[in-house]
Amino acid sequence: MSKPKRVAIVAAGINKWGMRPDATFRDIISEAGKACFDSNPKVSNKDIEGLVTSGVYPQRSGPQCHPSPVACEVLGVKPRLFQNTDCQCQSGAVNMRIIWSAIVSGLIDVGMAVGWERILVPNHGERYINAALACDHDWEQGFGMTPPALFAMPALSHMEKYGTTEEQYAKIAVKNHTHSAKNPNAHFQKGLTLEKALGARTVATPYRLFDCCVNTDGAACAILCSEEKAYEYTDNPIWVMGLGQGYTNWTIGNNPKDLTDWQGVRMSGELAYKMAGITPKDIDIAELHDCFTASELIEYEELGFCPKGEGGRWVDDGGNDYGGDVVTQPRGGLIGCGHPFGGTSIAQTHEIYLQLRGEAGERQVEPRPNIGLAQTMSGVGTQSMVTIYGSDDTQH
Amino acid sequence: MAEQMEYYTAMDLVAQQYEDTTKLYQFYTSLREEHKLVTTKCKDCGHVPWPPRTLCPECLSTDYEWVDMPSTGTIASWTAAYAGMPPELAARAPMVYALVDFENGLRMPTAILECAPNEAKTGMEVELVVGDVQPDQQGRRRVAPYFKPVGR
Ligand SMILES: [Zn+2]
Repeated sequence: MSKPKRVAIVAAGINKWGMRPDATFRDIISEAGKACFDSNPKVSNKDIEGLVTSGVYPQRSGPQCHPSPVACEVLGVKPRLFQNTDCQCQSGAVNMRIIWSAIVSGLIDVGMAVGWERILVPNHGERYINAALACDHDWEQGFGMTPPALFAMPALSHMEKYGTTEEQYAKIAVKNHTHSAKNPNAHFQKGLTLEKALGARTVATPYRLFDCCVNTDGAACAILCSEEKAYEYTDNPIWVMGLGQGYTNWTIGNNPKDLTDWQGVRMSGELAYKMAGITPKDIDIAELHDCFTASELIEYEELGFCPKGEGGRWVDDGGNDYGGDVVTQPRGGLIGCGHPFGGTSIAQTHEIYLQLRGEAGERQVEPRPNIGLAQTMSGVGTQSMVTIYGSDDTQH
Repeated sequence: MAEQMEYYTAMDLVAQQYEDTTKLYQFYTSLREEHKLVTTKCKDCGHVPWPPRTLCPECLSTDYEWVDMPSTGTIASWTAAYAGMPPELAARAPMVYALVDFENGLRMPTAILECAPNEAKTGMEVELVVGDVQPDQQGRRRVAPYFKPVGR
């Protein structure tokens, strides 16, 4: 593959995530869209040539089909390329890859990714249906298993195979809640102690309450543009260095036999590293898919931050936190920020955009990082997307 | 919700199980009437997948026959779920869910009935039990392949 044209992020914004019964779909994307344009006054809504939305449940929670022109109208964008995309939890990353592809191919020069979810209906049956829809209709949904149970099984397997402990899982939740306490847009801002995490009620063994992320109402936006336009908009663009997506299978019965072997995540990382021309050692910060604590731990291993099986030890050594090898989840991850499916990947990008520009305030990683990795996943390790971003310094 | 739904499968989380609603109805007929777990076998290349398929993913043949699955298997991994289950099962929490391995190399997700969380173990032998789930919109019985500890 010849080297593709370079694409930069030149603006990004996010709204307040959490229980948002006060806000409709239009309200939520208005807030995040406004924050995105406000982040760089040089970029106008009139400049946006392509707009892609990513939302997983608009036809359940709204209901609203065909949301991309709604977003265009709300944000005053008149695009010549627009669509919605649903790739479950990877939706935001896939959204940005659609815009990236359109820019690389020359279809557009400037595009906007709008990712959101408005889902947190306070009703057990509705929440259950949303969770079940992530599983196969004919062969999984009817059995009553939802993501906590599905992701609990590899957590147990990792404990049995590698000696990982519930305390090591809990330490990941404590780290992420500690980080999100410094993030005013996060769902959770009260922090968390290890005692509280280990004393919380069980959701699905070995997971307790704080091992699990929550569904959240929220949105995030990012504006991508061609290298020709990037410096017109900012002196400090953040560059897309590499993209990779991995797939092994769909139904969980066909996952790799070793449940801790997350080949889909590993493939997505390897492809992105190769395209970026870097290795895991070059990563300064990472925003990972911590739908559950064991997910984050297994992702450390599959993305090469520590050897296979040593995720627990890496947690104990603090390799995953400020002052360690890779600062993971500086914004607080899904566990601290909540998880609005279609918005999560774009919020990860927003955080990396801030961190690489040195604009992350109280949670700024020092010294200012140069390379950040974002990863989101659908399926239990079987489908994953990784995007690697570099500061402007990495391009000279 | 109106009582008369023209598109009656909308938001029905349970698989359709009869000849007028799925090409794989034989799977459910075997389970419901013979208490037997079966899957498809490709008549052209011999591939035996789980779940059963009308189209062979290996050779794209549509010529298949039904073969018996083992009625016992072993737990590959499991969890006791206290939350995150359907409202009608919430009262039965904790529910043990597992991935069950069969000697033919296939693996399936299922619920383990009649099993307390402190009894469940990786490697435990379990046997098929046919469970009733919600009837379909025409009021016909629907079933699911669950498992329970062997001999219970
Ligand atoms: Zn075949």
